[in-house]
Order: sequence, then structure tokens, then C-alpha cells
Amino acid sequence: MDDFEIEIKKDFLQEALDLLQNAEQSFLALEKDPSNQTLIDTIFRVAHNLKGTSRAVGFGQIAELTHRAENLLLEIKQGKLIANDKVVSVLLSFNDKVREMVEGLGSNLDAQFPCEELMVELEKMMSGEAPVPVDAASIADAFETQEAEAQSDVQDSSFEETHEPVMTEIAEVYQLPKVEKVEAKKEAHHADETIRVSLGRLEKLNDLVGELVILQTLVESSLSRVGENKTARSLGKLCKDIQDLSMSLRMVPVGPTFQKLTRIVRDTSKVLGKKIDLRLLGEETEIDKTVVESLGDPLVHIIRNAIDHGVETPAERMAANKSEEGVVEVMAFHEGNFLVIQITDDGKGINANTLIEKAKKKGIIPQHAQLTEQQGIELIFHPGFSTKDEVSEVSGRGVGMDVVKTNIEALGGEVKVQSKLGSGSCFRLILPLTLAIIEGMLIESADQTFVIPKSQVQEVNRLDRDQVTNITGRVPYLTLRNEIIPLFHLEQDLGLSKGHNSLISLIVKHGEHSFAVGIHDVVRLQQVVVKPPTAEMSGKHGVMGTTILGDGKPSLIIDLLGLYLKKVKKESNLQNQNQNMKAA
Amino acid sequence: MFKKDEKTTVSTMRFLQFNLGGESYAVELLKVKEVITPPDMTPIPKAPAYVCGLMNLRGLVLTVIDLRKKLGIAPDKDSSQNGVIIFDLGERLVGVMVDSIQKVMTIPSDHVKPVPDSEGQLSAHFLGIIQQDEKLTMWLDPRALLDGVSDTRKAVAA
Repeated sequence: MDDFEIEIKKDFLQEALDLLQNAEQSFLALEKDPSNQTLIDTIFRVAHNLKGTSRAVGFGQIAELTHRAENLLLEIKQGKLIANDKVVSVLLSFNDKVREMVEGLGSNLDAQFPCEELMVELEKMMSGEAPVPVDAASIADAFETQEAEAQSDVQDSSFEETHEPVMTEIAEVYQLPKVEKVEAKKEAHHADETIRVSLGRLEKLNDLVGELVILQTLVESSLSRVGENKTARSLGKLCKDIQDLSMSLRMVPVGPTFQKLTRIVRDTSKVLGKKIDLRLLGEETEIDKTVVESLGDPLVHIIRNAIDHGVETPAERMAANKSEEGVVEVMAFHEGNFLVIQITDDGKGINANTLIEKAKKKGIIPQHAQLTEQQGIELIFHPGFSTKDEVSEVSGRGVGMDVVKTNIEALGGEVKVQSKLGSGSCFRLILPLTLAIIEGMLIESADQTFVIPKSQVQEVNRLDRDQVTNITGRVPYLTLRNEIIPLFHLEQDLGLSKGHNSLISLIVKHGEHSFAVGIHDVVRLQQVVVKPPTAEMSGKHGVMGTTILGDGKPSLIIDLLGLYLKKVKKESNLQNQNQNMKAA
Repeated sequence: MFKKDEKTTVSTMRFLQFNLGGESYAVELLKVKEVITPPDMTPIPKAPAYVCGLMNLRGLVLTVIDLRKKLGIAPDKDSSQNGVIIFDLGERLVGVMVDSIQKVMTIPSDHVKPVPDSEGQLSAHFLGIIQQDEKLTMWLDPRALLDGVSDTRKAVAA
């Protein structure tokens, strides 16, 4: 295979994934509205396109399989077959199979996939009327064999020809304009107005623009010294605009991620025999590409949970005076510098008491523990916790909500849950709009400037010596509003000095653990662009990344949790042991 | 790596020559992205002594290492550290502080000799010895230097 061939094959695979995503949505819509002719036409066009291009680039198996699906679609198109849920299920499994093939081919261009079973199933669905020859020839060829020779290009043999074979032929031969053709072209043209750009290039662009802004501020300050303010200001404005634009290039709408949920809801509710009305809102809301990629799995977990554990069976719902169909609403919106995704169901809600009892039985919390209702509800985020007595095939075996929480926190976000017994639950995923920029706290220790993610700092206090208890050979303690927490000094722990010159304490909270970090001074709050640590630094605890400050100097972004959490846990274990010994 | 010289039909190699503590070293020119004057650097806490710190190369953050310290070469009176070579190691860039940059040399490949075995462990740092007139220049392997190769010469001297 030469490079060119590999390239067109890879291009096809990328394009095919988009086509399949569209097709899946259309299949699902078709199930709801089986007689929608425009929808059927769209699906038919997608299938035809897929078949044509896959054959053109040499993926015979995909073409062959798509050909069978196309036969089935033709029957639907001609009204010989109604797209009931059985037919749609087969079409969906066809969609899955081709996706599997496309993904498999992505890693190995010569991969082969067994798909006879599916081919048989596709054929079984056919009404049996007007059997279509199942050779490799295209549908158009089968119906208009007399024209086959007039068609030189597989991709050009679009389905419209089945409507007006003669007109099309004439139009193609004499290149006459044709209304439907022009419309189709327009659509294609519209699609061409976006281009694929690798994320790496965008990141490079962002780096360069960031540097441009730094240089611009230097130019501006030296120009203002000679009184040339106006030009510098316009330049500054322009740079800011360019920076905003280059940052926005990484933003993509959450829509496609939401769309995938439609399929999950369909399959899950079928298995469980529940009726679900899925409502997607705010699909156009934009978020950083890297964030959106890690969002899919947590969303699927929550949706599955909502359907499995939240929404009741139709019978239960009727008994509770609710409509037969459960409503699951997924809504995205911006809130300040965050994207909020809110998943609401009108099911039976979370029973805090059941959770608390279960947790006690499993030894997750002590027997005598007193928990509020909200604390009880939040137990669902505890690892190894499943409320359903039998493990179901839908929401798995107690891995789920804790994984959701971990994943979202890894993105610098948080998960919140609210629930009302009998009327439903609401999960809120609160995510930073981008991972590339964080709200940073610039601090100074040992004459160096460091950046700390603001999200890690709960509060900033003046470090009062009276509040500090020093113990030889142990971590000192800070008394903060009757709470005793370990105190670390950043400059000691970064190996910058033996003593410390801490005047300020930063309070960090993580779950049940709190600790204080002594620093010399807080400089200011500022948004910083996060860059990865250099290869020489990677693997070092406590360094989250690097950034370039306004003066053009690199600085380290310190991860206080990474630096201290292990030590804090060790400390609290020691403390517990001491208490136990005293108690004994 | 080897380029045919049209006139003589002897293949040649191009090197960038630089000084460390009065000694002459060279790297293959193709591995060099650029040469800059020492930039402002931010120290890295807990880094080994031969790491100078972080620098900003037009929006990229790179580590700069002090090659003289890394190789355990003693400074001489002219060791002023006035050049940083940015190496392109394929998957990453790294800055290397040297005393001074000399010149670009084009050397017939038969003037590049293997490192004698007697150099022992140190030969891991070098790909060969370049012979030019009476002078010898050590051909440095930038990759070997960054893979945590220990400061052998210091160990030998101690």
C-alpha cells in the first residue's frame, strides 16, 4: 500500500465515523416517525454514500454489508416495509457493526471482520417481495441496468436517479443543471465550510499567540515611554482579539456527546421495559475539546443509573400518579467560567435511609454514625457501593457513580446531587470550560513565583504564630477555628530553604482531609495557560505543569494535593492510632 | 546524515562546534534547532545540580541543562556560559548551556573516528572523535546525555 492509498483510506475512516453518527441518529428518529419520507431519503443517501466510498477506497467488506442494509432501506423507501422497532434494531446493529469495522480498520487497514450473521439478519428482515440480486453491484445498477454504462463515477450515481432515471441520465450526459442536484451540491458545499485541524496545531497556535501577547505588552510599555500610545493600544486590542479567537478554536458544542445518549436511552429502556422521554437541552453550548472527550463515559453512567435506579416501571409510575413515560432531561449551560451539565429525572428519587443502612451493613460507615439526609444521598459516590440487590446488566456492579466522581474531579470539576424521595433526582456536573486555562493564584516563596490552582485553595489566612503548635520530629499543627490541621511550609518541602519565611497560610480541603500550607506571600489571582511539565520534570509529585507569566518568565504550577495528600493521610492515621490508644 | 559532496564525491558531515571549560566538543548540526543567548531562567525545585531551570522559547517551556556540570568538566577562566543550544530530540526540545559557540564545520566522514575503548563508560556520551588538522573534537551524543547517564568523569576524578 503506498502512502496515498493509506491516506485516502484513513480519510475515509474518519469521514465514515461521522456518517455513522448521523445514521444512528436518523435510525433512532425513524423509529419514532416511521413514515417520514425525508428522513428515509437522508438515511438512504448516507448508506449509499458509505457504500460508494468504501468500495472506492477498497474496503469491500463494508461495501458488501452496507449493500445489504441498502436493500433493506430501499424496501422501506418504497413502502414495502415498515420501520418498526425490530427493523430499527437490526439497522442499529448494522450501524454498530460498521462502526466496529471502521474502528478496527483504523488500527489495522487490512483487518477482516466476520459479519455473515448480520447479513443473514438483514436479509431476513426483507419483505420478500421483489428480490434484489445480492451481488456487489449497486442498487442503482440493479434497478437501471440499462443505464449502468452511462455512469462513470460510483459517487456520482446518487439515489435521485431512481426517481427520474431518464432525466438524470440526460442531465449527466449533457451536464444540464438539475434542481435536486443543485440542492444536494449546496448541502455538500455547506459541509465543506469546516475543515479538520489537528489539536496539536491549535495548541501550537495558542502557544504562539500567548507569546505574541507577552511581546505586545513589552512593546506597549516601551512605546508608552516615548508617548506613542495610540498604536500600542490598537495593537493590544488586536492581540486580545486574536487570543480570544485562537482559544475559541478549541471549543466544540456538547451536542454530539449528548446525541450519543439517545441510543443509550433507547437500549437501556428496552432492556428494562421502561418508557423514557429523553430531553436534550443546550446542545449548542461549547466546551473545550479535551474536556468533552472525557465527558462521554460519566454521562452514560449517570443516564443509565437514572433509568435503572431512578425511573420506575410504567406500572409503578401509574400507581404513583405519574405519567407512564419517565422524563430524563439533560441540559447544558454556562455558569461563569464553568459549564454545568444537569441531569434530571422524575423517578422515585434516592432513599437516604436505605443508603445509610446499606453502608452500615457493608461497614463503609461506622454503626453509630449520624448522617444527614444529604450526606446519606452522597453515599452513592462511595466506591464499592451498589444499591440494587442483584447486579443488573445495565448499571453494573457498584462501579459507577464513584468512577463518575473521580473522572469529573480529574477534569478539575465537581459532581453535585440533589434528590427528593418520590419525585426524582438531579445530578449536576460542574466543569471548567477549558483545561488549557486555569484560574491561578500567584504566590511567592523563597523569592520565587509559583502558581497554585485557585480551585485547590479553600481560604487564605494570615499565619499567626500563636496558632501554630510545633512538635519536634513531627509536622506542626495549625489551630483554625477549633480545628487542628497539619501545617506544611512550601519552601521547605520544595527544598528551597531549611527554615521558612511563611506569613500566609493557604487552607486546602480534600474530602475529609484538610491541611494548611505556609507561603511567604500571595501576589495576585490571574488566569494562566497550563502547559505540560517538561519531560525532564515529569513524574515529579507536586508539579502539575508549567506556565508563562506576564513578564515572559516560565513558572511552575504546584499541585498542593499531589504534593501533600499522602503526608496528610499518614498524619491522620497517626492521629487516629493515638486516639485509639488513649481510648484503650 | 551523510551528504554527498558533488565535487569530491566524498561524503561529508556537518557539525556545530562549541567549548566547555576550554575543551572542544561538537554535535551533529541536524540535531540543533537553534542557538540563543542565555535567557531568563526559572529554577526547578529539587532538580539535580546540572539543571539550570526552565526557559520560555516563544511560548514553549523547556528545561535547560548545564552541560559542563552534567559532564563534570571543571570551568576554566573563559567559562562564561554565553550560549544555549536548543536540541531537537524528535519528541521533545531541550536547551543545553555551553561556554561558547565556535562554528559550523563540514567534515569528510572519513575524518570521523570511533571512540577508543579505553575511554570506558565515558564513551557512552560520545559517538566519535572528529579529526580536523591537528585538533580533535569530541562528537557528543545529545540523547545519551539526557537519559540520566551519571556524571562519570566526576566519579573518575574523585
